[in-house]
Amino acid sequence: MRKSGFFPRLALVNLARNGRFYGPYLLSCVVTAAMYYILLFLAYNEGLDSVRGAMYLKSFAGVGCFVAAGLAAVILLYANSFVMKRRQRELGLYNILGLEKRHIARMCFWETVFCAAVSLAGGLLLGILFSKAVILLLLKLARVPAQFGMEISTRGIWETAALFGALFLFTLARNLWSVSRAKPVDLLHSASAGEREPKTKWLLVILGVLTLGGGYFIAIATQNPIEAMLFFFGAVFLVIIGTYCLFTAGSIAILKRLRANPKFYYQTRHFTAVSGLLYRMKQNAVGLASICILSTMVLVTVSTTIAMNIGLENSLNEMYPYDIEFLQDLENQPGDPMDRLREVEAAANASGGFTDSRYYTRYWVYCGVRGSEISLNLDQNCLRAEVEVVTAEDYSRLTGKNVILAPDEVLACSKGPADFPSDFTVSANFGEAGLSFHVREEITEVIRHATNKLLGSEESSLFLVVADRETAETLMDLDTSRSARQFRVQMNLAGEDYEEKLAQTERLVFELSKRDGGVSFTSKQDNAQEFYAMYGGFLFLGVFLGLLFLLATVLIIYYKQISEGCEDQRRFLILRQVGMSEKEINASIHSQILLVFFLPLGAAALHVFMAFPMLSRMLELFNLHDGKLFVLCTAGTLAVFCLIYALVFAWTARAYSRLVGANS
Amino acid sequence: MPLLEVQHLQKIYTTRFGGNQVTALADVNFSVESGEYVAIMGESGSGKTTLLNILAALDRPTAGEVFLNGKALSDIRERDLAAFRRSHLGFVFQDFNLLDTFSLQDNIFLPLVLAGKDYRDMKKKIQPIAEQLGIAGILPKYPYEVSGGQKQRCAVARALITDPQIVLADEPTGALDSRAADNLLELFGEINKGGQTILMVTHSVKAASHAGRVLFLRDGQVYHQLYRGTQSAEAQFAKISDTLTVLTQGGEPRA
Repeated sequence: MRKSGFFPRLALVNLARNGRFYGPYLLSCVVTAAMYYILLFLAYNEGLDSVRGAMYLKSFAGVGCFVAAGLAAVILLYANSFVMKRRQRELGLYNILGLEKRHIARMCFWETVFCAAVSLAGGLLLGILFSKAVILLLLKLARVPAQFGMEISTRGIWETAALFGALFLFTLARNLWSVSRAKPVDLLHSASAGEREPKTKWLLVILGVLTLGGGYFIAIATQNPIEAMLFFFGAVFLVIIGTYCLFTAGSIAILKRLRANPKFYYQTRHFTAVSGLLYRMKQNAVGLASICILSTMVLVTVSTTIAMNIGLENSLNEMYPYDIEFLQDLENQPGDPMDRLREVEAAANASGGFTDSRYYTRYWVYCGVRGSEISLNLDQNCLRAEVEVVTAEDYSRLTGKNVILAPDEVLACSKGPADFPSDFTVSANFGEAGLSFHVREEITEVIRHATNKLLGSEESSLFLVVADRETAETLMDLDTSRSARQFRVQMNLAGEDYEEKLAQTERLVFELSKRDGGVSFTSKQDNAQEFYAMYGGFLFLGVFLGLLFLLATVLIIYYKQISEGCEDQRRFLILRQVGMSEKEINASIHSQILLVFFLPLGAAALHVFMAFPMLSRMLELFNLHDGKLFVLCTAGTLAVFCLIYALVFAWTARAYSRLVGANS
Repeated sequence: MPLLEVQHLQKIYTTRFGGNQVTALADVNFSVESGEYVAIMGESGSGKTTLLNILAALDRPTAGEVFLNGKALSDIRERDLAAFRRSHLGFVFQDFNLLDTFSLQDNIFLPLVLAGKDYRDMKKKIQPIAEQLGIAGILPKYPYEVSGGQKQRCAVARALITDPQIVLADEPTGALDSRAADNLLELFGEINKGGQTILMVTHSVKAASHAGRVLFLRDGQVYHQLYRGTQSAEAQFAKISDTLTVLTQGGEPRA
């Protein structure tokens, strides 16, 4: 009688003996499980709720969970099918040696149980250990002071266990299914079945060229940032299809073309390379295209999120020209603006001081523009524009220029309506009589005020400097229900850095809140909290998912190297016997392997290069106009990625050389 | 001067950590004249494959020397070995060793392409050989599309296309059915009549009986040899069988 522990022990021995295959498989399972747990941990973390902007962090973590779960499924299924394919012969042998299929099934069962146990235990342990470090990193990125102790998310543990349990169960079912269908002789010979010569699929080549070209065209031709945002995923989709088609069919078409030319083909250097590549591409095209797509995703997510983070300061400066801005709505909040100014300055001094301050009255109204007519009421055939009005007195004080205007003269800065006329009228409704103005000078700098609009608007705007307060008031009186008059005080606080200024803002606002009628204000630092949380979350997600993609890439490269190595063992031997020196064979095979593995990287770099115009358009929506910064971020990310890729390649190439060298 | 001369060849394998030593070849001496057809027989483990690997310059002997056309193989520099193998030796293997990624024609061209020959010359050379071996019609096919016998004839064509001084065959009929084997042996006979020197290592009494001379290898030494002379292959077959019987029983040979 067999002892009850026979199958578990057999399974353990099998796993150990196939360590070359199972090692990376388990390692990637462990890492994916750990990352999945960490994302769940963040998504369910209650301590984060007290942090401002935590909503972003948590929802990003939630999105990350989905992506990570999908990627975990891909990694597990891919690695499992690879390992099982390599083990067909071994299983066939067991069958022939007298293990019945149900015994093999029991063996498979135990193998899966051990794999699942190791992956889950290792993954959860790693996840729990690193979750603290990750949350600290995330809070650092979001510029929130850390305050939590060590925590463990039971819900995270359960959900990780459930996901991976289900995935392992699925792989087990698949393995059992393939074992139950196979005949032992097939199992023995499956590895040595002759490879048919690949056929050129012209339809796929054409489809690939069209989709890739279409994707690139969209990426380059789209000028409008909002359209770029809309079309981006369409372009990504087209490029993915194009990449798969061209890697599978295009490469083979090119190689066949090369082979059809005897003058080129029958040369020592090209002969083995061309025919070898033909088969390598047939077997590996899909894997390589996947590597290419994954690499592109890593590059795009990481470079854009880094650029956004570095560019955030600029965006903030754009949105909030001063640290804090107080606002008095002259129609609804009574009191003399000058009293307000003094009050605010006194409070600022009491709460730590300020470095500079300025004040002005801002009049604004939404208007319709049609030709040289501006109407406070819109109708269908006009351009909608935000009109801002500042008096010459305020403008002179704020800019240091000495501007004196006649009542019908203005300085204008227009964004949107092209060729703004030098003479125009303003009225309550189109067609009515109104006030006539003459543009004395076009100006380029406007008086900026704080805005919470993150997305750069495509809206037209018109900035006018008018002669005096009366003119401005007359303009606004055309329709009092639509226009607004605001007295604004802007100041920079004396605090050294973000944290000090934030604290000072709190004191200042507390101070002012004691007065009657409260206070309206916009604080750069206070708003920045949310942006830091959001952009920090973006960067975190970008890098975290980038790492996951990278893991998948590394795993695919490793398995590809191993399968290539197994294939090449025999080829190597034959070539040697026919009269190729070891050096020549090494050179030939290495150049093929290099080409095969660096083709995806090259294609990914090309994709990123082509996507660049579109990505920079999209970043403009986030007030990131610094093209040079984005170029640097992309180039930097690409360089680091190439380095990692090369290291991974060098490391996996060792596994390959060991395989090929073993038999010679 | 003999075409191939083997003197006091010795090969000792040492296990990796220096422990046991295994003597594959103890002291092998023989020579092959130009135009000869020699078969080497012996049990598994008698050192046949080691001998063939040394003759093919794929392996270096521990002691002794192999001369081809009076030139010692050990004098050839490591980096010239591949070119030497390519231009002076032709190989035929038990499992054909054709590359799946090449058509049969390209498999045959392989050594010429490696030698950097012009495509038109290759085309000219393959024609008569393919005709003689009866594979002219299947040249564009791939190895997995043809039978074992056809594969082996292609392998022979690949061995012959460089006009080698000697063809080394390792168990060439081992993977063939009896008809294909007969067919191949006949071809070997014809090729040999055309002046090609052939050295064949085999288990098969039938294969060996086609050769002009049979060397028997035992415990790493040439133990005995039989000349066929003018005898028929059938008579030679009987003699070889008898010798093998004696050989396996461990006694001394009769002749």
